[in-house]
This record gives sequence, structure tokens and C-alpha cells, in this order.
Amino acid sequence: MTLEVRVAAARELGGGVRELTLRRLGGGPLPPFSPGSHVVVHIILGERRRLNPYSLACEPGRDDAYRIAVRRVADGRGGSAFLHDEVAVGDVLAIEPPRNLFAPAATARRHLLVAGGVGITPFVAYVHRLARDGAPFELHHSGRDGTCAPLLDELRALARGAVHAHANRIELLAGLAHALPRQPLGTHLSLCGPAPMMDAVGALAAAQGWPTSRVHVERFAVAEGPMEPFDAQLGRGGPLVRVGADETLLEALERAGLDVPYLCRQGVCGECRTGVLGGVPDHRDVFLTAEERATGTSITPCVSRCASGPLVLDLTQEAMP
Amino acid sequence: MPKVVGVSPLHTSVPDEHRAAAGGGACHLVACAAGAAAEQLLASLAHVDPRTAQLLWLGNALPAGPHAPRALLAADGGHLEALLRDRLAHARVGVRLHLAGTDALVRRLTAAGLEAGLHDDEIGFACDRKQLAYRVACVHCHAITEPVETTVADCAGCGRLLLVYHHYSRRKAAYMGFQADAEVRGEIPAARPGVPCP
Repeated sequence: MTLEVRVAAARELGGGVRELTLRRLGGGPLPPFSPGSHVVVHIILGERRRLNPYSLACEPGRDDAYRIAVRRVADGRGGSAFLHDEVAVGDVLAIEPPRNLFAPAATARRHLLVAGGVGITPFVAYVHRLARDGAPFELHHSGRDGTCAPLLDELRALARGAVHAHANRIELLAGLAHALPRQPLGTHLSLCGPAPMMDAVGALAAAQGWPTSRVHVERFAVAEGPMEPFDAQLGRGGPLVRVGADETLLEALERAGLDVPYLCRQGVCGECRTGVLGGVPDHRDVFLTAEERATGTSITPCVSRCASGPLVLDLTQEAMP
Repeated sequence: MPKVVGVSPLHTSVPDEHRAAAGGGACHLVACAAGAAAEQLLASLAHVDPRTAQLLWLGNALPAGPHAPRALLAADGGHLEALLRDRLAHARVGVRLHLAGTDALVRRLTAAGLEAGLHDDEIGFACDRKQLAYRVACVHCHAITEPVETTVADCAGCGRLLLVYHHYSRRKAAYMGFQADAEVRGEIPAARPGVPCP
């Protein structure tokens, strides 16, 4: 199910990030969403389709408009470039309704929010909600070139004193080295940003005694590593599908007409997990455990690829057309 | 562990007798009543820098070991809990709580830790013996009855005869009790001694 929305406004947020304001086509309310939610934007690039997830970077509880912030990925697969260069105010986009894989920890008594670059986006809704509720929190952001500065200004206006902007990752880590040992019991740490930044902050927190149960991570751009083409076979003896260097296995399966269930499309949720009967997967998700990876009997096709093919998929159940 | 039938040992609320806290704590609160469990716990913490640990001790004489010099002596269980609550009020994320003593004491101190904002994985404990006398929370009047030693007991609050169920509240450090003849009036299940288990 998709919703049709019209691009009502667009603005540059600095650092190669473009914000789009989306309103329901024909008017009317948009579905409500909780902080940390994302929508999947359907992008048609010729014969290829990109389904890109973007956090809703706006006030939850309002149903008149959504805002998303899109960072241009220079060597990406064309989805973000399309939203930067081709989409204009007045255009219509198809999106999937909001889903949430990064909801605020419900039992937290205080939130320590840490964002890198465009990773500020999920925390826009967080801060709107926390500031409204008078809940204690502090937000640390690091970004070069004034990335997302207008969003930071918006959040400062909501909660002056709770928003800390750092010019780079070194200053961010210095700020957190000061902040982490001073958090009262009941504080939760939530991270969103590039993987190296989250790894560094996670290591700093672990060294200060933070257990994993207090640390929550929103990953984006999980799929790293070379994009080599490979073949996937739809069941033993089934037809072969060529997975191009510019598409994911999930996209190739969808192109072949298969209806594979999915949610996050970034290797986090495990919804698209598919059985493997032959070949060796190249796991790039964060969902499967080390043991599950070692058995090589399943794969998350949204990000993972093939180390030795052809990859024979177990599509005997509902996914087959 | 009590024998658990048809309940996942990973997910049941009936507490373990022993569990270690997650590693890597930046500092440590240790609250113990003298006994074999406390000795074992202190031995397992011997490598912890004494400057990062505070021992709260219930017993006649302080134990040997690196954490004794900074120990505080408690007069009784209530005093030990008060000392712990005072420390927890000023604690910061990164602390680990280590508990040893009778089951009943460990559960009460665990509840104090959770109330202060600690997570389960930040609390380690070792029990000297499975509790023989436990606490029961009445679902009708919310009163806590203690000590209870059989699975059918009078509520100290509303006087109802309660069946003690193997549903344990870590927050209240008590088992759940409800009217014993709730299913069929006048039909009272046989009382069993000891901790309720399925």
C-alpha cells in the first residue's frame, strides 16, 4: 500500500542535504507517526525502482505534512540524486506509510541523543516530543559544513541548552567523554549517524560501563563493500535472476515479479529474510546473528549479496508469484 | 532454578538464584549479608579496583579482602537497604550492583536497584538459599503480606484467603496472590509448602 503525496516545499539544509515537505495528494490528513519513524519513498529510475527509507524529521502529532531530509550520496545508486535533481515542488511521489524501527526507549528516564550529519533526522521528532513532555534529554550533533544547521536551529528553539553542536567528530567525542560519566541511572543512549561515528561512540560508552541494554542504534547505509553482479536462482532448478552491480538482491527479486515482504530495506529488521539452499551469501546486514550467518542458510536480500554463486533461494512459500 | 514446566526459563519472571552482572562496569556497589554467597561474590570481585567499589555489609565482622577498608556496616536488612538506596540516588550510568544474602534480602535490594533506574543486566546476585518465607502482593487490595510460607495464605490487607501464583513481580519483590476460590466458590486448592512454581 502506498500513499500519494505532493512535494509542497523544498529547501537546502547544507552539507548536501535537501529537505522535502510532503502533503497528501488531494488534501486530507496523513497517518500519525511516532518519533523515530521512517517512510519508504518509491523512486522510479527508468526500468529500475529504488525504495529508499527516510526518517520523518518533523513534529509527531501533526497530520498536515511530513518532512524528510535527503543526503546526496555521490556514488550511490541514483535514488538520492533523483530526489535532489529531478524532484521539484508540485511533483507527486509515492510513499509507504510510516513504520518505526527506532522508537524512543519507553522506560528511559532521560535521553542522551547522539547524531552525526544527516543522522539528526530521527531526533527532530524525538526532540519535539521530549520538549513537549518536559522530559529530560540532551542532544549532541557533529556535522561539518553546517550540515542540517536549520534543523539544529529548530531544535534549539524548542529546548535551548539541551542541544550541543560539535564541529567535528573529535569535538563530539570530547563532549561525550565529559557527558557519558555524568548521566543519572535510567538514562538511555540513542545513536544515529555514519557507522564509524557510531562505533566510536559505542566504544566510548562501553568503556564508561554502559551496558548494551542502554544503547540504541539507528543505522543507515549498512550495505558497504563492492557491488559485484551475481546470479540468484529462484528455488532449486528454478529460473536465474541476474542481480546487477547497481541493484540489491531484493530489488532484483522484485523486478522478477516476486513479492518478498520487507520493512526497513537496510539490513536491520530481518523482515525480508529468505532461505538459502545453495551458494555462499555475503552477509551485510546487522540482523542475523553470527551463528545464523555461519550456517549460511538464510540471507537478508535487502543488503546482502553473494560471495560464491549462484545463490539458490528457498522461495517455495508465499513469495513465489 | 525451581522446576519450570511449560514456561521458558529464559522468559519466566520467577527469579534465578544466581546471575552475574554484565561486565565492564565503571564502578561497583556491593551489598551483602555475611554468608557463603557473599564470600563467593567478594572472591569474584577481588580483581576490581577497590577505589571503584563500595561495600555495604550486613554481619558481625567485616570480611577479609581488598574491599573491606572502605566498607560500611549495616545494623540490619532495613539499614542495608537504606544505605544502598542512598548510594543509588547519587549513582551514574556505568555502575554495577552486586548482591548476596538470603533470597528475600536479594529480591528486596534488587527491587531497590530497579526502582533507582538500574537495568536487570546491571544487577548481579547470589542467594544463599531459596527463600522459605516470601512476600505476596494481593491483586485485590495491593497489600504486601510477609512472611508467607505456603501457597495458600491470608492477606494481611483485606483478609481474603489468597492462592499464591508463580507470577513474580521484580518491582515489588513479591509473588502474586489472588482469591483462592476465585474459580469455584468454596473450592480451596491444597496448600503446598515453599515457593510457588508451576
